[in-house]
Amino acid sequence: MNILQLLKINLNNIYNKYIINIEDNSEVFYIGGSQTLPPPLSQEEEEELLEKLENNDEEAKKTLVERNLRLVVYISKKFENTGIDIEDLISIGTIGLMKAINTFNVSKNIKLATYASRCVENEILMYLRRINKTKGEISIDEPLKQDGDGNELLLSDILGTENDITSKNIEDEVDKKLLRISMQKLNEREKHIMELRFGFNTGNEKTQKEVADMLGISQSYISRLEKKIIGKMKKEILSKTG
Amino acid sequence: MDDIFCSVRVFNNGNEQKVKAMIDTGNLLKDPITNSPVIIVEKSSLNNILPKEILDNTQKIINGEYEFDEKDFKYASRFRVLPFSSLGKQNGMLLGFKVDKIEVEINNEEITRDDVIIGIYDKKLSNKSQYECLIGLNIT
Repeated sequence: MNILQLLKINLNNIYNKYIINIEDNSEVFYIGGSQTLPPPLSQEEEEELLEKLENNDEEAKKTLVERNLRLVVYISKKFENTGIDIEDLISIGTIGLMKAINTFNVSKNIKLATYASRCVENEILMYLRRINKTKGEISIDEPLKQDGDGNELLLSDILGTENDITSKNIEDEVDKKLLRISMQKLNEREKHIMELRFGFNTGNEKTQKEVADMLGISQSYISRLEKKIIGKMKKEILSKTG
Repeated sequence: MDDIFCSVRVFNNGNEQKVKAMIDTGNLLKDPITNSPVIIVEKSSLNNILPKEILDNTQKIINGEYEFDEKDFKYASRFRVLPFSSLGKQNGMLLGFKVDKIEVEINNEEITRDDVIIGIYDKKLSNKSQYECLIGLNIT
């Protein structure tokens, strides 16, 4: 025992004398903790504690938490690159560990370490998701910059839709109508080829080779047919639009 | 005699709480993960620092039975688990909370620490309410 410890004990005795004079049922407050992170449990220790856990032994719960803190630290370190303080990660992870021990089912065929690891990671991931959700929220009236005159540039000033958003939709409608009209001028086979190649009905565009195989003709023939058909459709559309 | 009592101010998230503290040389408690010193504060003195729902459920939190919801999940990252052994309790666990800083006024000196964990104590420390907080020599 070194001098410092001796001093501490003697001081404690003196203080105790004073305290006992002040109050009648004073408690002697010695409270100590572990110097280092408690080591993991041996298999026997774990088995014993898990048995107690099944009987809802509160002390066993606490010991299981304490002796698995190293696992929490190990897992938390994997998330250090998220920019969250490692101590905060460990706190969240510890909550995951506490939940794990609370819900662990000994009869299920899974090791405590495996189950706890999943719960710890899960808890950290949930926390990260919540943090990122609130980070992304920003008000439309958020001031972004200020010029020399004190005029603010707000987020709402730079948000907007494209100029032609309405006219584009109308133009697209017209194009669709023209396409339909020109398709009606084609014969059955020509229509069929176009439908296969451009997926008008199914959304599934086939290659020239695929269509050729389907119809039992060569790919070069399909290519020539396609050119002819498109020319026909173009003529029809141009005649309508002048 | 005056030296065994002092004043401690707890600061967290813009909130402040002043408590009467006793210097307890027997308080050797540290956070096992970071080795930060721990001061023990009665939960009834922490109403300015933590929401009631959390203060009333410290055991549930340690038992893994508490679900943090949208309004109190921001506290979740500040909790620490503090295993301890003491006379009369071999296998104890306190719920700890990391605060922004504390200021200790002792011998006309002021000591500021920003690495201190508050151990939340569910019962009363002093029967005659002479103090609500225990700090150890590792603070001063």
